[in-house]
Amino acid sequence: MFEQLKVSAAENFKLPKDVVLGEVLVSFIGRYNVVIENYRGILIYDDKTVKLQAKHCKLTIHGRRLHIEYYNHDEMKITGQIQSMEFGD
Amino acid sequence: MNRLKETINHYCKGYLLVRLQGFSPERFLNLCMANQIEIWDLRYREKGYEFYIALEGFRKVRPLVRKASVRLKILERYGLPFFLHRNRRRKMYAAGITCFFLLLFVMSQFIWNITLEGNYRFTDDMLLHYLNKQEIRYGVRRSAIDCEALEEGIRTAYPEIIWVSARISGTRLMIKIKENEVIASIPVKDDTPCNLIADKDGIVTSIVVRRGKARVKAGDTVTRGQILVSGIIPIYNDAAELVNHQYVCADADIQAETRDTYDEFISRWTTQRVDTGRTRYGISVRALQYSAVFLMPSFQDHKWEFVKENRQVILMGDFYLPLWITQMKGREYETYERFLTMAELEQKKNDIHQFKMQNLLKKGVQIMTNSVRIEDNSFGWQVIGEFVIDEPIGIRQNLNQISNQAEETETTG
Repeated sequence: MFEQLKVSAAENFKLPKDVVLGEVLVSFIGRYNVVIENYRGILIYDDKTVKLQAKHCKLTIHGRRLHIEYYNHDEMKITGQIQSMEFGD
Repeated sequence: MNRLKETINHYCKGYLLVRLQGFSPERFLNLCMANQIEIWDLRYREKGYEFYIALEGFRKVRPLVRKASVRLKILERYGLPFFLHRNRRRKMYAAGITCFFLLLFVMSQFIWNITLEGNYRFTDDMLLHYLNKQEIRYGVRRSAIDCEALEEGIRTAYPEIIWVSARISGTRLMIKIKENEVIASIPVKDDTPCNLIADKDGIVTSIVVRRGKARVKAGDTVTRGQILVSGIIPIYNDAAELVNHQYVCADADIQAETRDTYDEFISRWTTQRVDTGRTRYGISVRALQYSAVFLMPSFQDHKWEFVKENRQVILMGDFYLPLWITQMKGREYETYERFLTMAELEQKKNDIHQFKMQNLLKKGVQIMTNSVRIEDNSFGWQVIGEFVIDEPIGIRQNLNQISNQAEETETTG
């Protein structure tokens, strides 16, 4: 109920959803850098796949020589040759 | 900038390169994140994961290792704490570093450079001499300088300096000066009765008398010492009889056409300088009053010309050190005597004539005609030049002096 209220408030008042709803925010810088904000944890990490848990979904990044430059509570920066990204439940 | 700050912070606090192996490494990574343990440069390797972790974080990681059933292996240790631990037995090394910083600190307490800006009328030497008298010189303690008192002192000692700013920056004393561009006092006008007499022979081209009685007119030929404007004005009554004299200071603008000649000697011989192509490099180091020169010796008795470039050693910014380094570059040359060619003689003649002409023009006179010729004498050549110029003439001659001279002549007579 409260969650629905938040969604409609965010839509009606045009509030940023990553702030109000805690949605994952993915920023690509070219093909070799990606910064992910609002994630919850790491599910899988190897040099070809990084799978992350966000609040409402799972996020998988496929690529080659993937390397986590830094990660903390707020954000994570992945570098390497990124080939695709997919969302899952 | 943040990145640099972080790197310095990591280095100061120490960090480790660690290999992570075990059953669920992702869980360990999530636990580290939850406990705010800083991990960076995480890479996947065949034997596990490798990452950097701060020393502080590594100390808190033990319970998380157990919980996630993983194993950590330290591969490398980096940072200041490890460096100090590795070198704990090197006493002289530590003493050297301490001495360096101590010396740097001691050096920074003294003035090693004085810069002066904005002085045109007063030369650097004059002001440095004044500062020297005030016990402000190279090597004086920074704390011994009171900038405000120094500013006031300079203003008092040199009234023409209207604004002074003294500032100490690092080991450098910077003095900025503003001089008064307007004349400080109006010169007192001399009103003693006088004549204007010719200081040169010439033909008067124009005369405008402001005070006194003109004795010559335009077109007159005058000789040196001749009275041009008299300071004695006769006063006549209505019957045109001389009743009195009024003594004034004669004042007039008199232009006259005069001649100016010069005579310069040019020798038949000239000294030619030829570089041999050989060079020598050297360096000279000066610290306070001690100096040392490093220069390859020349074993033959040849002539060398040296170009020196002197620089004071600056550690950074305004931190000047009492160390001066001079770079020297020497070029060997030989000289021989030879006859001057006619082209060179012509060139020299023209140079001399141009120089003389420029000097005259600098005085503000007008050159009507000019001529130059070369005469051959037994020793060399004589360059004889003549200018006809239109210039102001007339110098003062006090009337008192004339009357005194007249009295003296009468007594001796």
